[in-house]
Amino acid sequence: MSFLKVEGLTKRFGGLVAVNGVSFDVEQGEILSVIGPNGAGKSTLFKLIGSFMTPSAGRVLLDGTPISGLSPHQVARMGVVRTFQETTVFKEMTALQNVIVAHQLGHAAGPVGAFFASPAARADDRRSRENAEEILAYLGLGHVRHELARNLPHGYLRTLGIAIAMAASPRILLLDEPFAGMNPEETDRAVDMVEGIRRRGITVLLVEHDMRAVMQISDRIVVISFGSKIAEGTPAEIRDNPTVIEAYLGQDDETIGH
Amino acid sequence: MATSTEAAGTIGATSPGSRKALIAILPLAILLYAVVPLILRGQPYWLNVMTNAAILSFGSLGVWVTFAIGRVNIAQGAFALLGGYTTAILSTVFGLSFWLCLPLSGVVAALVGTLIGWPLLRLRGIYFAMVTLSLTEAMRLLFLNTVTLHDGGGVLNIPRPAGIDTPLDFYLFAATLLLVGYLAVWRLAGSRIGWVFRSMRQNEELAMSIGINVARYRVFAFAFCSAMGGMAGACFASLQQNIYPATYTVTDSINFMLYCFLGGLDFVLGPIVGTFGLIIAFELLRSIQEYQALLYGALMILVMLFLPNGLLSLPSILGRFWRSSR
Repeated sequence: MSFLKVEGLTKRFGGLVAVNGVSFDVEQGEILSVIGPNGAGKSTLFKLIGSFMTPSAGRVLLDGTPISGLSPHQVARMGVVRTFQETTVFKEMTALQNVIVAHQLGHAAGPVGAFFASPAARADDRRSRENAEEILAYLGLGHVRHELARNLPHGYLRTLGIAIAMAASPRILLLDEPFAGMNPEETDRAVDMVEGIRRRGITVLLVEHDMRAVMQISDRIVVISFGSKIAEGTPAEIRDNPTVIEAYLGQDDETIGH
Repeated sequence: MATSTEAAGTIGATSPGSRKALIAILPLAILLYAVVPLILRGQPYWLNVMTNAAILSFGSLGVWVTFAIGRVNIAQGAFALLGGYTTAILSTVFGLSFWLCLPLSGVVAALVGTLIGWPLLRLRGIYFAMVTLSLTEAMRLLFLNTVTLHDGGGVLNIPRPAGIDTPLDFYLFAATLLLVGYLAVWRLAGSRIGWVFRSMRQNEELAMSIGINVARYRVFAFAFCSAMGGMAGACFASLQQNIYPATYTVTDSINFMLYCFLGGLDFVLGPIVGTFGLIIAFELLRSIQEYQALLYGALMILVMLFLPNGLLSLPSILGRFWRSSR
């Protein structure tokens, strides 16, 4: 049984079919990228998998359990955690507070215990804080942990977004265009970071535009065009796939890694 | 919004223990239990004003909790009215003691808040504010048309709480209620729950994505607020010994919200400072009758212009000014 299974996922908006019967499997511990030309339906697919949208047909299964139709917070608690494009963080909190508040699982104390600051609740707080410090240090944000998020440079915010997601103990992390708007140097660093996340035992599914990074990082790639899957395979297979080249026709050869 | 000084330190540091709680509440307790009674001992009128301000502060604290989740709540008058009527009817028709009516009023308001809040809290911003505003008017009309004990939907001769005989007694009771309410909201804001609220105010989608049941926390905050409103209304009905559909109107709902603004949304103490500030200012301006509303309005505008983060942000602004002028 595959870890995450996408089964005939379809999303219609009125007459428009944004995602059309897309199926693929994600194996535990791999980095799988979904790519496609602009408007191919990547973002919709991403929202469907994270349960931020309900599919018109098809479903997503985690370890054989259907998760489509559940609310985002339930899916997150099952271990499917997403990041957002751009800089979605809690702006009026420090970096550390951002990551602490993202610890919503595994608390020993219930709401009542938290209210009365019971010993268990204090232990929870301590554990969340230690874990948050560790995550920030791991992602290279240790030195800015006491800065308010809104004062952080743009480049740090995306990393902070990933740190927040990591704090939610994902089993599979969904990254929404993690390399968008980065220069090659920043991209290289981000690629290292994503590999670091995988080394921690977290499966990664990313939706991305930046072909160079995708080719570099992915174990497997799924290509969608006009809402349908047109190819699936290793980076080498995708690079030489005529259908993919066709779909990207008119674009620079370089964009698909030649 | 300014840095939330009150909140900043607490998360992740060891949760506030009883010593911190004492520091948080001691100044307010001294003010309410010692300073006010000492100054106003022989003045029942002013004691009544203070009692009223304490009760209204309690209701404003509730509204502050809905501000904490990022909702502008203009329904507190509705829940105060609901609580007031609950106490009025339970005590006059069923002869229940006020000490039972008070918690029951809170429970009734919380239940109604849960029922109404569940669908309404999907709305945000101006839409939520508008609906809650009309809720206040709807509640007034409801009691106007259903309560037939007295002309105009009023309930008269509500008994005073047992054991509370003088204005000073009532004031001390209201002060105690306020202190308990303050301590509760202060604890709530400093606990993990308060941080969940803050995260929801700043970005609900992101909060959802990390596993926060946003819908449930929203309803909890609103019900908590409603319960405080209901209990405030119960106290006021018992203080006045009567209640009418017009006891709490849209104006009162707006005032509850303004008290929070004026005091400062970043501070749990904000609604209390705002309420006492405005109530006392209003009373002092009473002597110049015809200009009262005008001056009151001008004062409000000045505060909002120069202290957009509320009266309690004054110390930090002055501190910055002092440092920069050296």
